[in-house]
Amino acid sequence: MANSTDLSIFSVTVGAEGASAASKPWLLMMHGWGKNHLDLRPMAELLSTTYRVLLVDLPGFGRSALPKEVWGTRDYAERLYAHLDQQGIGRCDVLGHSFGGRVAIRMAALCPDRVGRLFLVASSGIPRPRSFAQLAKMRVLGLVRSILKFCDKCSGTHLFANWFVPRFASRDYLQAGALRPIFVKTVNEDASEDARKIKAPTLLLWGQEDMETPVALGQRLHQLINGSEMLVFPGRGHEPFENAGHHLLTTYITRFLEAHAA
Amino acid sequence: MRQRLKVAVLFGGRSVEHEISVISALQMISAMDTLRYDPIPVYIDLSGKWFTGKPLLQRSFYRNFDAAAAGLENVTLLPQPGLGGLSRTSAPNSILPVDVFFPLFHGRFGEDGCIQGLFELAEVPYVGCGVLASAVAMSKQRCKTLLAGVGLPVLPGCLVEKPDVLRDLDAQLARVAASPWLEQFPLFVKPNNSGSSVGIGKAANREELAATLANVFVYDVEALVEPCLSDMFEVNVSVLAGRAKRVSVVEIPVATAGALTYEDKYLRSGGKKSGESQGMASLTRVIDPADLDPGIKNTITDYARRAFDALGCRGVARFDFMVSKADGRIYLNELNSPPGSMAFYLWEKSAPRLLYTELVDCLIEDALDRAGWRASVKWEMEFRALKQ
Repeated sequence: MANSTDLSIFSVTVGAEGASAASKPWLLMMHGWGKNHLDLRPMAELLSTTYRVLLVDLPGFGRSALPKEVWGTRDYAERLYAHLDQQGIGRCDVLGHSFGGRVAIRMAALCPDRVGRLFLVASSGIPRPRSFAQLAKMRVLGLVRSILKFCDKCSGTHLFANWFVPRFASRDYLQAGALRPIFVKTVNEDASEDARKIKAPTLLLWGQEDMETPVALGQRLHQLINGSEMLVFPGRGHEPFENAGHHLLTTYITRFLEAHAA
Repeated sequence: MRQRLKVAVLFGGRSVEHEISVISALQMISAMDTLRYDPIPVYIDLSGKWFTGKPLLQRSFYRNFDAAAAGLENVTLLPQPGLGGLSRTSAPNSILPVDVFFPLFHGRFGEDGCIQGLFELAEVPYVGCGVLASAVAMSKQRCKTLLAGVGLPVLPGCLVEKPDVLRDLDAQLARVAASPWLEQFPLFVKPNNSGSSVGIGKAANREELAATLANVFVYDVEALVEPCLSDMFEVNVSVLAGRAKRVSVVEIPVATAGALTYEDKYLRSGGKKSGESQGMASLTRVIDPADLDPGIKNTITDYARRAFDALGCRGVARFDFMVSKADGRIYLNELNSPPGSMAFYLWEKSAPRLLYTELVDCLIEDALDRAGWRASVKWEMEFRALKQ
């Protein structure tokens, strides 16, 4: 299962060279769904004056191997801790974007003593708050899905795959490929209980125009994580670090570090 | 949230460096602290029309620019003090409030003092150099003449004007050949009032010089002929105005073929995963080279600071120097204000470090400071002579 260390994980370090590196704390950075470590590389470069940064390709993404079983985010968290052990890293700060944030929440709850400070950038992890109309639409779609699957089973048709999926499935679902079972499992997970267990000083960084993990989701996480701080940047979307946005996030992460010295 | 400063970022413009300006502006806006500032994109298209609207923040929008379909609004800045912002051209007396103007043009009309003149007439706070420094900096050879006058070593060159060439090409070629440092080929020829290496050419003989001049005259009415120095390398440094003037670390840009081309600067991705140009930040370079003589670094830093003061620059500027491999002699070649990508790649490596977000903070603070000084000066007098 996930805590076995035979699944290979690709990672790179930034800022770990030089005589002064040993005095810097470690920062684990985890990317979002469908991405790889390069997504966060420019921000890692900027943060490497403060940190020794470990950038990972999460299992199933980039150059890391695909899990043989259908992992949940707790499995990811366990495997990441095993990877940290392999790298000789004990306690570290953790930054996760989107799906990486979901894993970061699990890690912070699983071993609170190993996570110094937590940075959640447009993180997923709890169900998206939805309006009554959105909930009603989801119920209807759920019913349609069940009916179509039943028809497919009885009559050998492929209505669910050929009609329903192209019309109603999300882009991530459509592009998930071999990771689709993991996507289906993790996207419906609710890490609220784990969010409540987080002890690490936590900074949530959000784009006000985030359509994938809306601000309301971040605000709910902010309520769940005791003592957390949240910044919502107007004009930014789900990837507030894109283009030169990593300078903006690094500016505020640096200020947070000054206020929450280890 | 506290009241955010409304910052109109102006870019595009009627210049061959139009696209570079768009890249620089979108990059700067993405680094801007939107908790403090409300960026308002103001795009000037190639015909000189001014637009504002959120679609302008998307890089992909410019591939198929359609102002009407995107619902962009036509605006302009009237040369009249006290209006408080941009005027909507569709609705008389309707103002889009702006607290600070942030021009991010490269080249003609935006970097040469023209737009700065409009800001001065409208008496609005704006980022960067004023009219005089912008105009002088834009004219490469005249800038060098001025800086030589304050004792700074500059790269020799010869200014050739289009009407003179049209009248008597041979006389102009002879004048170039008689100029110091230009006696031997090859020679570099570039527009005197343009940047980004657009129109730049290398002439190996008299015939090629004539042809290269003709190419430059497509982009400018003045050509600058400079020596092609194979035994020299380029070193750049940036200077930032503000409550405490600062000089960045130096860089050695890496050219693919002798001189930096437009392709070197903007069409190589600099190793970025997306392959999209990040403007001048895309260029391959060595920042703060450890093997560069500290004496050369210190001299370049000193020259840049003196040149910045001599020209009365504000905001951020990048100074480009040529250094002789043989004897370490240093020559100031040109300056760019604003530089491509605002030279943030130099400031993020400087000590103390200045992230792009903080660099923008400094520039806006400097603009507001300058507006404050200006407001303290009496510019007008009441009618007296006509009342007698």
